[in-house]
Amino acid sequence: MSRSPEGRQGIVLLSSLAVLVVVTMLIAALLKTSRGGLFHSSHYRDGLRAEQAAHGGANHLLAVLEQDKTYVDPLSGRLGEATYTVTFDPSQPYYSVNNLTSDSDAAVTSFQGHTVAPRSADLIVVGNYGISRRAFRVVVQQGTSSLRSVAAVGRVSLSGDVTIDGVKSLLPPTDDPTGAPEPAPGGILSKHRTVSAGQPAIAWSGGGDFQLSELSRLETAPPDTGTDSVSSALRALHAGRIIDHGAGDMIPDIDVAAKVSQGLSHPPLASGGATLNGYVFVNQARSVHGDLTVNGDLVLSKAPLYIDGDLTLNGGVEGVGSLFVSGDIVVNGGNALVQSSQPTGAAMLAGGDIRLQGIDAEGYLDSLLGGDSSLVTLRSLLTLYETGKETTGAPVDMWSLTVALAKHVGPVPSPNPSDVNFSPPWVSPVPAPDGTHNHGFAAGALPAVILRLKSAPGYSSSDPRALKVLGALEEMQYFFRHGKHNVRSDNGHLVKEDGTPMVLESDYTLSLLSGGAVTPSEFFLSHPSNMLTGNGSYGADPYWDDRDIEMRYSTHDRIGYAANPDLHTAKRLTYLRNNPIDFSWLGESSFQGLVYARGDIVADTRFKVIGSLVGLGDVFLHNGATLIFNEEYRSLFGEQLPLGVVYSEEL
Amino acid sequence: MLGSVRWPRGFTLAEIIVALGFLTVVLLSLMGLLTSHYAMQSKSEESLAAGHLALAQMESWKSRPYSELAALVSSPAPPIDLVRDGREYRCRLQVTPHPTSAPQMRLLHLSVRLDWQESTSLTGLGGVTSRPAFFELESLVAPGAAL
Repeated sequence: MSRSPEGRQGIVLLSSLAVLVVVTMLIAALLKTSRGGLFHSSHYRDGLRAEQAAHGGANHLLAVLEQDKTYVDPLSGRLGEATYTVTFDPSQPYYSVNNLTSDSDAAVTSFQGHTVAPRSADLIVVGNYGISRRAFRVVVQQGTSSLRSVAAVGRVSLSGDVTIDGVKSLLPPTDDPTGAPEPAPGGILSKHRTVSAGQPAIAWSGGGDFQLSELSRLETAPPDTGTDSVSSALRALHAGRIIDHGAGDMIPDIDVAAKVSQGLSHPPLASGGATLNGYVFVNQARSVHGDLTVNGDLVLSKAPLYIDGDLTLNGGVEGVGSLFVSGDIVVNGGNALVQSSQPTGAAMLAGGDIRLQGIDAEGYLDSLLGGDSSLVTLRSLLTLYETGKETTGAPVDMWSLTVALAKHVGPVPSPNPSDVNFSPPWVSPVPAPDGTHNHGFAAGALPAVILRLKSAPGYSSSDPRALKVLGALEEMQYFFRHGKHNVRSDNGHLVKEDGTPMVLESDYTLSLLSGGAVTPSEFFLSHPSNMLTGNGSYGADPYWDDRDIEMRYSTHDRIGYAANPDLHTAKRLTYLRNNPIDFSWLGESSFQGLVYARGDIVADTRFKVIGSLVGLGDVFLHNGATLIFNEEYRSLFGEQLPLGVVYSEEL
Repeated sequence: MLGSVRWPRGFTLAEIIVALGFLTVVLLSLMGLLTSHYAMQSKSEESLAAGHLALAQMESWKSRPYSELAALVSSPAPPIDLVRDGREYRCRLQVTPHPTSAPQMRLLHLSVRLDWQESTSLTGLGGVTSRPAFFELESLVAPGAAL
């Protein structure tokens, strides 16, 4: 049955050919696969080029919008062989919507149908390379950036007591008016890239307590050399809150010198090299061609100040506004009080370094009080302010305490110190110079305290610590002063109605009241509109119109109310409720707002910042520092900060 | 009896030579194809790796502070030698002011170029010939927000 050998002739050839065909097919398949891989890798690289072109286009568009917030023209560009395009024409398939200058939603929705929120832009950038195309959606807002408690390009070096925290707002939550402010992420960001065990990006050398709030983090960028981004002391304390090599946020690069240059055309506040004393009040854009020294507080009332030189401030920066300084800024002392109404915060931007030098005012106060036993009760009072608790641990009714200082009630001849309490009738623990003790504190106690401190052994009016402590107390008195010291702005200075400069310590009723209760005639304004100085008591003279200045610096009339003392009291109470003051910071060195330096930032000796420190150099915090980031400042400082990307996606 | 058996006819020398020649041509062709396959596969891998590397370098540079990048306009960064999967790459960053935008925008043009020796074919027993290859990524950065 088997086939003859002749019949099997050629099978070897056929088998060989078959094997060759199979091998050829396999190799062809391999070849096809590798060609596919080659095409894939080529396509991938083209896609990268298109993607980077789109990113570059987005950055180009952001730079254009930074110069012109209303920009809606087409934008295109070329990066080598790659191109990018942007259009704001709604008839095009990928169109952008610019709503940066509007306070309401955009009239046009984005091409995906999204509502474009106020002060934001929904941008679509298309990148092309060959047949590859990448489209990105970028949502930007004014002022969003890498704000933290501290954000630095260089190292962040800490020592002593340090507290890093964050809040959503200084005000309590709306659903819990008596509660504490809601927490928010604060934290420290350092992009320092040359690190070592001895020179980490974020270092704490000990010598106190380091407090990092629950939501705050310590973030560092990927280093070029070394691995020790965070000091071992911090790593031991907060291992779970350290983000190593994760910081990708761009720290804003603000050309302060250019902003100063642009602002120098505004009217001069003073000549270069000048020294100004007392309150320096800025309620319209001003400039200084040269260095400036201020012995007092600089008050910004929604106005910028441009200084082409250095600024030395023996006092604080208060109010709302921006301070642009091409050189260095030195702040000795800082603000005496913290105002927790919103929005309240100044932006301080320097082309050079910023030094915030605090003063141990509390220690100074203690040293003064130690020399006068009659002021011991005062120390208890101030401690109550500071701690917010009675010696029993019960919470102090801070409102009653505050009112106690303010209340106008007649003096009594000889109170028993044990009568001192914080429910009516309040009795001053401090005898006035005439030996009487006042019911209530403001009319008698506070001025008396101030006067007694000034006569205490060791007091010196030239001592900056004295200016700090007494300044704080006088500022408290300012709120409750009896006299109507109407003020106006004269070349940046607050002056009284007779044109003489207003000086806190001599003009804020630092004399004991002897008249007793408030008489209706003292508050003669009969209509709310007349509460505004200039509309009632002094006619329509704009010099006396203080409607645009900060409430805390406005006149007593403005917070007075009609001829009814009860109404007046109600109005004043309302004012104080709406403008709460955190008296626990009495006499401390503080700053509320944004601190931005192209150089280094140094905060020394118990300096407290509610806001943010941002530096292109190093940041040093020594001898105690409290940094509380306030999220609301993101929008408050919007005009000073570059546009920020809040969201991006590839389409 | 033996003389009556018909032995199968063998291949002639000419047939064998022709067959071997045919096989040689076919196998050489297949080897060429295999060589191309390996070369393309290698090129594809190098190309992908170069893309990954260039992207990583670009993103790394873009995440740096603007001031640091601006300083590289006048003082260019030295080339960086990188090794991935046994292959050597040289990375160069070039930073220049963007020529077509307004100076106050301070836009910077970033170019990351990767150079390496690209595998082209196999020779002999696993030998590889190569030629210079490069891949370049370009983008823009601004002083403020960056993507």
